[in-house]
This record gives sequence, structure tokens and C-alpha cells, in this order.
Amino acid sequence: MVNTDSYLLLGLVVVLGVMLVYAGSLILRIRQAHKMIDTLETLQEQ
Amino acid sequence: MSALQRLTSPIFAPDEQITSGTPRAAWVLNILTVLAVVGFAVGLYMGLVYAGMDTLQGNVQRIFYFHVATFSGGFIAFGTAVVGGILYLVTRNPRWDRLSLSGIEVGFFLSLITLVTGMVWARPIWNTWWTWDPRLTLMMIMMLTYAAYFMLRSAFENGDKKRRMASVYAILAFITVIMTLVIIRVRPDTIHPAVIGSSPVNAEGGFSMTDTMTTALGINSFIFSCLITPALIWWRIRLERLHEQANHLRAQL
Repeated sequence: MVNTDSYLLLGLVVVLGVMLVYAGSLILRIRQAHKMIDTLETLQEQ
Repeated sequence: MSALQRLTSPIFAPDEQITSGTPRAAWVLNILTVLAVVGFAVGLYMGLVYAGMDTLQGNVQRIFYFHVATFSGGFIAFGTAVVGGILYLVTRNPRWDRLSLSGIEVGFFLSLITLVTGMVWARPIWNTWWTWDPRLTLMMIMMLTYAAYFMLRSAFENGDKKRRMASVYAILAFITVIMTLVIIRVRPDTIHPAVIGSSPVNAEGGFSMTDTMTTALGINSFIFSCLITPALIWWRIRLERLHEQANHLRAQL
């Protein structure tokens, strides 16, 4: 049987990598949107 | 509020509802997120430890549990986008457009995992990263079709026209998902294996599933379809609501 462990590892890097990048991008975009809303609300109050 | 009223309620509820939803909804989303994270860890355990190793392919076969599960999740996400698109066209309520957009974005990323893990599996089993097999080609067409959805949205200003076009596109684009799903059943010349049910005559890399393999596949598919995908879609909807609130505030200035 051929050793295919390295390909499994590569596959896992892909799965974890894409999931983490997407979840991370969601978190960052939500934080940025909150900051934007706070800024706009401050401007509105002024 | 009746179900019909909820379906057609306007885009802007009171501000606190736009930003964070009701406390109960926030609580449910937090629980769903925790379940999705725990489920992902359980799925990894099932695929990497619990399921037995394939004696012909070696450990690379374990990619299959994530390859199929992410496609299941993507299918649910794209299906959600179709439901959102239809409901938007019927009700003209922007909340359904948010659902459609979120479904497509999440489905796109899950399909990307399906595509790339398939390539990683193919390298040692088919001795190539890529081949223009009907299933693989259709998968690529499906990805490009959904990538074009984002371009379509960015081509229009915010408004009903943009949402209508996007909804129609989301519904029509689902044809590529169906075609990708059924191609291995209708084209006997594909080399892509159908592990569940009879495989095409030219399939290469198929294997007979043992009980532990079936269990690992079922659990991973459930986790991606019923926990991870809904949680990601819900968070993406929240983000879109925040964008809309920011646009609303900007317009008021």
C-alpha cells in the first residue's frame, strides 16, 4: 500500500484553512461594521 | 406577529433588532455556533480516528468524509439561497435577499473546500491534480457561476432591481448544482466514483464502505449540513444587516 498520509495532511490543511479564513473574515467584517455604525452614530449625534 | 406579517415585515425593524436581533435569537445563534464548533471537532475525530483506514488508498481516503460533507453543506446553502430568492420575488422583503446572499457566500466557500480536497485526493489516486472529467468540469462551472453572482450584485446600486436580478440568478444557478450532483448517474464515462450506490463503469478510486466509514460519513454530513452551514449563514445574515444599518445611517447624514 502506498503511503498517502502527506496528502491527507494537505487535505486537512485545506479544510481547516478555508474554514478558519472564512470564519475569521466574518468576525473581522462584523467588527468593522460595528465600528462603522458607532462612528456614524457619533457623527449623527454631533 | 403572524407568519404572513413576519414574512413581509419591512427591512428596518427598531435599531437594536437590526444590529443584534432579539436576545432570544442571539442566544440561539450562540448555542448553534458552539454546537457547530464542537460538531466540527467531533467530525474530525470520526473521520481521522473512528473510521477504519482504506487498505488500498491509505489514509488519503479519509479526505472523503470532508469532501462529501462540505458538498452536502454547500448543497443546503445553495438550496437556502433558492428559497430566499423565491421568497424575495414573492414578498419583496429584503430579509429574503439577505438569506439568499448569505446562502450563496457560505455555499461558495464550502464548495471551494469540496473542489480542492477532491484535487488533493485525486493526486495519489488518479495520478493527477485535475482532469476534465464531466463531474469535475461541472463542479468548476458551478463555482464560476456562483462567483459571477457576486459580480452581478456589485454591478447594481442597492435597491429592488439588484435584489430581483440576484434572486432570479440564485434560482437559475442552482441548476448547475443539480447537474453536478446527478452527472455521475447519467454519464457512464466519468471516472469519478459514486461511493453510495452503483458506480459508473469507468470510475476509479471507489471503495466499499464499512460500518464505521458509513457512520463517519453520515455524522460529518449531518454536522456540515445541519450545524456548520446554518451557523455560518446566520452570522452572514447578521453581517448584512449591519451593512444595511450602516448604509441607512450614512444616508441620513
